[in-house]
Amino acid sequence: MSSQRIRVTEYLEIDPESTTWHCERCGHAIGPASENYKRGLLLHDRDPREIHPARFEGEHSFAPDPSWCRIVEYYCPGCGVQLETEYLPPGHPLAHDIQIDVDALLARASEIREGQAR
Amino acid sequence: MSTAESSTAQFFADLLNNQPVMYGPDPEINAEYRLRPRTEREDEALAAITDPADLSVGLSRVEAVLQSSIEMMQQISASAAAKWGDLIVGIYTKEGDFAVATSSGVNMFSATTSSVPKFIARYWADEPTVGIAEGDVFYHNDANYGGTHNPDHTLLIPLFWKGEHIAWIGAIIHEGENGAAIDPGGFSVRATTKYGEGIRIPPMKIGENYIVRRDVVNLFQNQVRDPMLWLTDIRSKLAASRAVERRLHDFMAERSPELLIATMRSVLETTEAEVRRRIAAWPDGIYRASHFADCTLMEERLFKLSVELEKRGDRLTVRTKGSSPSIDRALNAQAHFTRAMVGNLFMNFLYGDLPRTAGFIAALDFELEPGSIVTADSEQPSSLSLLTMFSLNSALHQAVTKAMYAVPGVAKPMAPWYPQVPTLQYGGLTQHLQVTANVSTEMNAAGGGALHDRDGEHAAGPIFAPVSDWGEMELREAELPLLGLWRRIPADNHGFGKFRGGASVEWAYMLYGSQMFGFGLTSMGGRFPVTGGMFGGYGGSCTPLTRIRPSGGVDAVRQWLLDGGKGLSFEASTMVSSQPIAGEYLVGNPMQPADPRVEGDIWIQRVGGGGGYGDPLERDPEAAMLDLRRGLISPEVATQVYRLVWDEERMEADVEATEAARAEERRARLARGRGYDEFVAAWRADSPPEHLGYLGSWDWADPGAGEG
Repeated sequence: MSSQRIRVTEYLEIDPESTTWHCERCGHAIGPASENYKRGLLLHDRDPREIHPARFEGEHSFAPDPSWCRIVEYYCPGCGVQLETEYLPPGHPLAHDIQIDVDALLARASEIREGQAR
Repeated sequence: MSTAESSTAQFFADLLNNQPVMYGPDPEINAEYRLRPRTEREDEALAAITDPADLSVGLSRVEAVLQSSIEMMQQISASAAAKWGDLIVGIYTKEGDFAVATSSGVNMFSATTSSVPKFIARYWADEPTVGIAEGDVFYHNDANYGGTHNPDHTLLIPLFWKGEHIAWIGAIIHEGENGAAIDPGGFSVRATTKYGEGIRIPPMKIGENYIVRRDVVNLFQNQVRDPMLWLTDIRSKLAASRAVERRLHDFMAERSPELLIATMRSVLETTEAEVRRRIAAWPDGIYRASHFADCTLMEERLFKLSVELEKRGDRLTVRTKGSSPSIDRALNAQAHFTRAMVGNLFMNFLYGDLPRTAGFIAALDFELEPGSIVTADSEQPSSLSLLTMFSLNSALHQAVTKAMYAVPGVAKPMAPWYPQVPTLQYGGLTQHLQVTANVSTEMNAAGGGALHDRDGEHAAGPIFAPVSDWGEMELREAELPLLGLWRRIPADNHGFGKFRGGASVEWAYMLYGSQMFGFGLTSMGGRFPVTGGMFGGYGGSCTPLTRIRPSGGVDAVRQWLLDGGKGLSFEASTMVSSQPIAGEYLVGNPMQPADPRVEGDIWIQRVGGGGGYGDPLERDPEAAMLDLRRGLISPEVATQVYRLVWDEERMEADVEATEAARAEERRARLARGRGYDEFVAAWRADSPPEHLGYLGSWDWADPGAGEG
């Protein structure tokens, strides 16, 4: 985990040299920072009842209804950490949730480094 | 021109230019959220300040005045909601910008009621039959003219000093009865047009010389089910406003009117500038999130709330494209409420160190497509717009947290709080033979979201008024024909994660002591959770409503309890499973209109917990063990979600075995996880499943979809 990398979320950072997404926990290279980081992760369609237990059989069981709601889990292919969850109706488009302006980020990081050097 | 000709010309000029059929909501005023330009008077006042410290003193003084007045209003008001925090007191500039609000209460009123004094100034100041003078009292509740929804009532008085109009003073309370056609309690669950939502008061003068016209109040009272509530709270709002006026007169006499004017202008401008400065630190980019609500008041169907934030430099543009279209249900919100909801997030969850002013939303940019459920026009019903807004908040909270995580500054990254209001909406004859209608305040027990460095707070507060209380059950019993059976924190009622969300309570009431009383409940989340998680954490669970109608009514319940209440588990799901008293047991979506109930009916409802933050496998095993020991999580969740291994006899965590179980689960994730394209090939549906009755965008080609 390079100290030069820029932390973007709890589990994601960007390497300014290679402009790639990395897992903050294990350093795994996820993909180009200009693209959707989710494309470099592993995804799983989770039945929500496995996380939020149903209290009885039938509808309105205190668990999400699996025909209404699924949990898409995103894992780091390097270490298996769960970086993200999305609660979605089945088949709904996945969100491109972070579309960072890499050039602006690098320019700003450079400004900050220069400021620190001075 | 003869006198007769002149008179005729004047007649036609008036007819054409000055005689509209009515003064409806002004779209220009409603769309205005930037600060008005500085006036000459404001320039003069600011120029008169020679020591900037005076502005700080001025702000402290104003805030102290407002805080003492809100506490007074809270004590003397009749509104159940106000007693526990659903109110605000504040001052607006003469131009109408909400300059300073109390730090407690519903801060977002400061972002959405500026249009009320602006409407009064534009239409009534020069209207010969109205005018604005010292001692005037104005009133308003119609959300189409500003504000949030119709139960929120604004009373305004102009603040004068030696004949000069200096500012406006406002007192706002959520009043729980508006005379809706069908539903008591202010929330019009069954209204399909705005004409079913009860009394709608545009900004109007209701009194002069500080005396409210009794005939006008009588007109209001004649429309509603709880005339005492209206009488008392018009008086309480006026009393609070006058207390502010008196103390600001003292302040101006002691210091100067210029200092008050300069303080208001300064706090607006500096708040706007400071919010921009903080936003500038966030990484440039586009951030998105959606949330889904599972009930449209009269039917279960799924609708979408979508947020896109674009941050460039010190500008943050908020968009809501992709959200559900507006519908013929009272869930529609006007765009000014949507802007205020964004302001609410900034005021209450990011920058609570700044004064509550209209400067917050003035710092932001909005591109809100018209015609959606968050930008409805003035013909749509909207008394339950708050439910839509609270669902929007879940998406908004996630998107903002992703945008600001890298440089949070004073803000703390956190998961969304539970946003909904699962509370009783009631009306009827009490055990004291008094007619009443209102809402209960258990909704204020919402669980707080987990933070980046610690667990969320249990029963922390509602997202719209985090500094509030949820009231004592015994007081509810004393006022209403309700017997409180329990309030307790049930297991698994929060989001799981490295840091868990705050849990909340389950409450149970029985109708007792009146045979002419009804209630309903207005919330969501029976099938689709209303709280999302953050950065790998999970959202909250579902919170359906449980209704029990015991055979034999209240007498059977009384006998059952006298006999020891065998099987009374103090928890909804086990009551449903074991059915310890004979009767009808129903579990469904937590949205039921307020209808007459049978004495002995028992309703059980959970307020939801906050979202979890981070991968649950990173939770400290000892913290997970403590959750289990305290009953916050079930053994199933401890095993399945946290992969906790423990000694069941000693109830102690086996840390080593837990780490091994977690390592195994991480390997299992790598085995079951699919690459993006492979996953999408199996997952993707090109249209929503029919049974959802889905409303909102569903477009895999949209740039916001993950194909980018």
